[in-house]
Parts: sequence; C-alpha cells; structure tokens
Amino acid sequence: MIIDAHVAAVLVSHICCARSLASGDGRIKTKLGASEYSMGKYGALIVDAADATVEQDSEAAEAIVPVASPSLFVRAGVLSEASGSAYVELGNTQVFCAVHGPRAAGSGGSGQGFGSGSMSGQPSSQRGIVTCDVRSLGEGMVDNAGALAVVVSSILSAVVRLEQYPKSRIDVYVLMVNDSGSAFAATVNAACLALCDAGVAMRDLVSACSMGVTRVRPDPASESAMEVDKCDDQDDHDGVLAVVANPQNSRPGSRKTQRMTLMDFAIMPNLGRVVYAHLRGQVEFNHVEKASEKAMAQARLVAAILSSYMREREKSALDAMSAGTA
Amino acid sequence: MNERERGKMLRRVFPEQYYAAFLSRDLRSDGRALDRTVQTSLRRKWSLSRADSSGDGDGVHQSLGSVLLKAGNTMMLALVSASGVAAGVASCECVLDMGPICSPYVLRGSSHALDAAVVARQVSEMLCSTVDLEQLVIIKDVLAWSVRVDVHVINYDGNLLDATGLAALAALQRARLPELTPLHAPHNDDDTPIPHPPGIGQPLMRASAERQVRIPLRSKARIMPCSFVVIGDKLLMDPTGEEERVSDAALCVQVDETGALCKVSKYGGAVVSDEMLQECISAACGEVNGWVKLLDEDDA
Repeated sequence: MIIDAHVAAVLVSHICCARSLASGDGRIKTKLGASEYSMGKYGALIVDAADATVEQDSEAAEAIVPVASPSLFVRAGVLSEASGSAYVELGNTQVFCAVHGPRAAGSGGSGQGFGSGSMSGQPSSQRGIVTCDVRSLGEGMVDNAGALAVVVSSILSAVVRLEQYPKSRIDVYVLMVNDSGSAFAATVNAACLALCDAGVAMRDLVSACSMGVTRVRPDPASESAMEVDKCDDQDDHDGVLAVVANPQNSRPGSRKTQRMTLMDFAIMPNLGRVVYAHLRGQVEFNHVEKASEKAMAQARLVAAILSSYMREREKSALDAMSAGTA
Repeated sequence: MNERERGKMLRRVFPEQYYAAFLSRDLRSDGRALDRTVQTSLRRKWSLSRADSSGDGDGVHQSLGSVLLKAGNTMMLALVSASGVAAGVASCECVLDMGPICSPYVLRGSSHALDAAVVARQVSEMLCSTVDLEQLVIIKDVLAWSVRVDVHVINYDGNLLDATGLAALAALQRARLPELTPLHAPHNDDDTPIPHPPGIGQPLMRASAERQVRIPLRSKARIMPCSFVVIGDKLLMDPTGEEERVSDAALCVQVDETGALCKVSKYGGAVVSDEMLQECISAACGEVNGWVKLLDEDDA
C-alpha cells in the first residue's frame, strides 16, 4: 500500500505501543487499550471488552455509560477479479467492497444499482474521480443506499490522492449483504481496506465509527452489553444515558438504530483530521463532546487494526514471494 | 525480468498464446486437467432473515435461506424468498444480479447483462423442473407459493451457469417455508371443512413462526448444468473467466441426478464435432456424484 514515509513511521510507533502475545497457531493477539484484537491469516478480529465503568462527568448533569462496540472482522483480498477488495463484518452487518481501477474514464456508465454517486463530477486532466456504488440486498434498505453512496464517495474523494490519477476513475462498489445497524461505519472501513489492497495512493487511512446517544435500561440478567432494542427515547428519564459505539439492531428487521440519535464520524487518524461528521437527532450540549471523543477513540482503534493487518499481510506476501523465487 | 514476470506479461498482452502454451501440454493455467472442475465450497451459515411485520396478511415475505457459493474464484450469494400469490399458480424463478462489483468487464451497457438474463432464464427452467410445483399450491386456485431465488454475483471468474445452478439448488434445499395453518376454517356438521370463499383482502392463512417446512423438491429430479469451452481443438470443462474470454465456443450439458440427459445447449461460436459433444455428455454424467455429494453434505 502506498502511504507516505512519514505516515508509515507514525503507524509503526503507534503499533509498537501495543502489547502483543503470539499464540500457537500463528494468530497474534494484541491488546489495544481495553480491546482484544487477534489476527490470523483469515483476517483480523477485534472484540471490544465491555467497558462497564460508569464515568462520572462532573459538569454533566448525569453519568454516561459507554456501551461496548460490537465485534469487527476484516479481511482484505477476498475478490480475485477486483483491483482491491475487502470484507468487513461489524456485529451482524456484513459488507463486501470491491475497488476497480484506476481505469480510463468514460469506459462505461457510473454503475448500476440503487445507490450511486460521485461528488467529484467528471475526471479532468488534473485529477481523477472516485465513484461509489452501494448495492444492498433486499428491498428494505433502498433509501439508505443512495445517500450512503454519495457520502462515501465524498469521503474517499478527500482521502485519495486524485491528482495522481488524471483522467481516470476509481470505482468503489459496495455490496451490503446484511445491514443490522452501523452500515456507514462498516462501509467506510471496508472501502479504506479495499483501496489499500488495490494500492491506490491515499493521504491517510480513513476509519469510521457511529455513536448512538440514547437511554438504556440495563438488563440485570445479562452481563454483556446492553440491548439497544430496550432503549427508549432520550426524553424518557428512567433509563441511563449511554453512548453506544456502532449500535446494532439485535433483532433482524428491527429499525431501532434508525430512530436513534446518531453521530457518524470518519477520520484520518494519523493526520488527525475529521473527514466527515454528521449528527442526526438531538444531543444536549454537554454530551456532544463526550460522545464525539468516544467515537474518535473508537475510530482510531479501528484504524490501528486496519493498518497493522495490512502490514502483516504485506509482510507475509513478501515472505511467500521470496520463498517462491528462492 | 524473471520467468514469472514474463509469464504475467504474456498473459496480459497475448492471452491466446499463453493458454495455447498450456493446452499443448494438456494442462490448464491453474494446474487442472482439462476435464476437472474447480474446487467448490458452499457456506450455509449465512442466514439472512428479515421478518416482515405482518403475519396475518395474504402474503408472507421473508428471506428464507441463503447460501454463499465459492466455485474456484467465482463467488455468489443465493437468497430464497417466497410470497403468497393469488390465483393459485405456483411458480419458481431465478433472478441473477451481475453488477459491476463482480468483474472489471461488467459495466452498464456491456453484454454481460444479456448473458445474465439468459442464464437466469435457464436456471429458472431448471428449478421449475426440480421444484414440485403442485405441492406449492396452498389452496387450489386461490393461493400458492411463488418462490424466488435471487443470485448475486460477488466475484465472477467464469462459468456463470454452473455456479448459478448449484447456488440456486443449494439455497432451495436450505430454505424453509413457514408452515401455514388456515384461519377460521368453518366446518359442516359432519366435520368436513367448507371451502373458504376468498374475499378480497381477507387473511386466509396464518404463518407459523416456529414450525417450518422444506421446499418440496421432486425426488431425484435435481438438474445440474455442466459447462464446457472449446479453445482450438481442446475441450475444457468448467472454464475460468480468462479461458472463457479466449475461447472459440461454449457448450452446456444439463444432466439430472440419475445421469439422464436433460438439455444440451450451444449458442453460436465455432463448430464442434460429434465426438466432442459425446465427450461433453459423458464428462457431465461423470460429474453427477460429485455435485450430489456437495449438495447433500451436512444438509440438516
């Protein structure tokens, strides 16, 4: 993957501060903060330990409970015909992403399917364009696909070094196999990984996290993260205010996350920039900062996973190649 | 430049010569013999179920079973859905979605859309012979199941027809229809049910949330296609994408479980001799045990 040398150095230092324990079958288990992350030849899996400590915010009127993020599984290079591809599972949300290109512009339409978008317009002789086409299986998610495609293409246009690809287009195709919440986060992470796999020049990685702000009734019977479906509106004062990273619908078909107050963030972790920030719903002033901090921290974590996974993959590919030619 | 890189360049720039070099030694570029299929695997752990809110309506919409098929590099996802159809005509069809995600050669306006339509039609015909349509009728002339298999091609590396057929069959085997019980069935004095006059918009059947039945398939009637491709004077079974692109002709033979020949199709292309056709048919019959085993393994 093509990343500037100084960015690579930053990445290396970031990874070195994680403690890593190698396990017997070649999987590397790492602890990054409170999360456990294991990586083998099948992909990288991160399981967030439930962070059950209640943080007392002295300025806020009440305590906010962080709810653990669902597990994330990533794997790159799953589709042989694409220039680069990735598969991401965020909880039950499953996303395939394929990158075709850079290829000559005008070699076909802008894709098919319900959602397609390109924020950069037409490729010029100075810079190329990135298009994104989101296809979701099933009738239920059609209205989201178009908006998601436009958003993702705008994010990628900011991240990819389009001036290195004049008169070209880079097509990103996303197939959402299952959407049970946090499709935005899964899609952006998948697109980033697929672009890395394709060797497209980017300014930085891009990782995303959605944060839901809602009230939760903790279930005394279960020890793990609280059920999002038991959440009610923010105005209900019985429950505890919680920020839920990458909220998921626990039952397939329920649309709970679509009614939650959601903050979506996409960041470039090493440049320390926010590429995309979106809030839907209402959040009290006091809680905005807390929620966005958690979101950024989660996104940075995901970026660290992606980068170390890609580095491992490159390393093993190089080893295999040198073993092959030796 | 070492040998490997030179080979890669030859493959890109002069694919016919590249493949001819292999075929003259009766080999294929991935090391297979000419009459071998790629390694195929089915993942049945994918259960996409989206329950619709209604349970009492005239139609029941659910995604009932799904299968991820990987045949070599060709990857496709087959989903089964079924809905109740008025006028009691049961049907089974296959819809093939081949979007630009699957291959750099598939773009809007390319000929692949037509190929996909042809393949979908062929697979629909296969499924109609395999599925027991009479048993899909719920109430005669009033209500019947209409089963639909959506096959989404995620990665296309050759042999669309075989993979689609296999994926569709596997998904149908995996799918479960909800068991239906009739709502307010009135009885005569001697307990024979009065045939229910269908009113418009009146719910007729209740779908059970717990109990499910399999989709009825005719016994020993599963049909599988087996595709071949001719390059020069060599016959290749189960072509990859690149082999298809350098090929001169394409053939398909459909056989069913008992080894009986169901269909032979050849759409244009170079002329093929009788002997080659016979070879195809016997090779297809030889493959039957393999795919029956694949479909039936861990079929709960």
